[in-house]
Amino acid sequence: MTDYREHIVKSFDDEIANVIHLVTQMATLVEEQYKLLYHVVDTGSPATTEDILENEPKLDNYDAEIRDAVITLITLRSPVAVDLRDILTSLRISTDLERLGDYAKNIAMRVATLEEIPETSVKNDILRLLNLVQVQLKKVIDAYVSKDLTKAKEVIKNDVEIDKTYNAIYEKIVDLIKGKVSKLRLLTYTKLLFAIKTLERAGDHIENVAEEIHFIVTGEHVDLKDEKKDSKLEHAIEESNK
Amino acid sequence: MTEQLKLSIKNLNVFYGDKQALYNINLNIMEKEVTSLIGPSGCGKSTLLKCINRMNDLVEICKTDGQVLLDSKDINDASQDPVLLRMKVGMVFQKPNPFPKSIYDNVAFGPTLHGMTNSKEELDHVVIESLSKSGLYDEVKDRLFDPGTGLSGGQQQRLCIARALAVNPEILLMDEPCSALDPIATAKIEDLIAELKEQYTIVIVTHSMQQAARVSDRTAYMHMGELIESGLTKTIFSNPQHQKTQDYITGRIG
Repeated sequence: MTDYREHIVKSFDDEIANVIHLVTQMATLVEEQYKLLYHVVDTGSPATTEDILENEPKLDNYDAEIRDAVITLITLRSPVAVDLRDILTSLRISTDLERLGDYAKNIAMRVATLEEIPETSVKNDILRLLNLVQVQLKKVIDAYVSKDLTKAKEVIKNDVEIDKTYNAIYEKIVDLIKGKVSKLRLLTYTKLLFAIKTLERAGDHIENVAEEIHFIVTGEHVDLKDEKKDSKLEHAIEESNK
Repeated sequence: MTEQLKLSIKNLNVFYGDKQALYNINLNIMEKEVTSLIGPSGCGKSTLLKCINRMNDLVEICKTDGQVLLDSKDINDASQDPVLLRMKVGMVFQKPNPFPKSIYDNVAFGPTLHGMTNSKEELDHVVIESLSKSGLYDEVKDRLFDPGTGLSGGQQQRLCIARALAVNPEILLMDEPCSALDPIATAKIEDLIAELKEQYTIVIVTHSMQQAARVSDRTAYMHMGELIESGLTKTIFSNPQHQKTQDYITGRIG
């Protein structure tokens, strides 16, 4: 139940709104980081990589600010029910967002050390994977702001697309490595493998956020069996039939 | 938790003259559990509590219909003796109200009245056992014949609990037992409640939602004479099913 009437104590409303506002701002900055990352992968722009590195500490600051605000709220207000869920999940969501920010920075730094991504098709594949992550990220932020359970469930369901795309790119790069490659090229491929794995993990953190939204709205932890296991299982069967 | 039904309130309506105080209350109270009644002032918590030991009999304009079944027997049945009922169903009030007698006499009063003991030794035993159960004995054993009213507020409240326990009740009703106490005395009473539920069924009315959350297994939320929602305390405070309950426990009622 998430019907928000005003509290008797008005400042309590303001304090909760502040925490939600901080989480939303932090999420928006993470979204920006992935937009910049897309540009880095696409163009290799060192200036854009710099922008990502500059933004990174701001995410840490948000994380710390949210943590302090949550501790104060719990100490002074003893929140229960939907308030408690809102407040506790903001703490978890900020941890996921902070990690998503780390990933964007790591990938940017890895890609920045490459002279270029060797095969155009691999580059396009990575951009496609990155785009899937961005779409999921945008959707989960929308779901958080509007406490939209349907959208959150879509995000949980759609993570499998990221997994599938990751697997396909992985296979492709491994095939390339199996061919005759120079040591330098091997290093490049390895870095790219790390990059795509990191993007796949980013997808998982976005899914975590969606699960937290599910908890805020329903008070129950998401039943992965319903929302996801089916499609995961299908995917596993698909894989084993290859 | 035994999950054994102790008290069953069925379709209970209570009127004070023309004014209806309780509307069709249905509530089950489990044996050897703590059940909290919460809700804003005037919602009927205390009235409901008083229906469990027929204290409302003492209010002339009060009429009740419906059933209050204690071990499947209606306590309002003509064959039931309210004095014996109140032996089975003890009560502790908001303000500690020891009799203006010695600590010993306060506790000995009930057993003496009901002729429960045959000798001074037996009576001594009941008094000491009751004071021990309420966690007071060690603090007062050297001054059992000092006036009960000379104790601190928290001690007086535990004296009242000992007095209620002395007649060997099955159910203990507590009407805001800690609202006049400081946090330390409150903690002692809450600790005591946790111990007492090993042997007794406890129903507690409290304005402190934190207290309800801390001490009770089940919680019932009342609003304007109606029982809105009851269930496991954990569920009521983490994910209530009714909007009114959520508004109240999160401080949104206006």
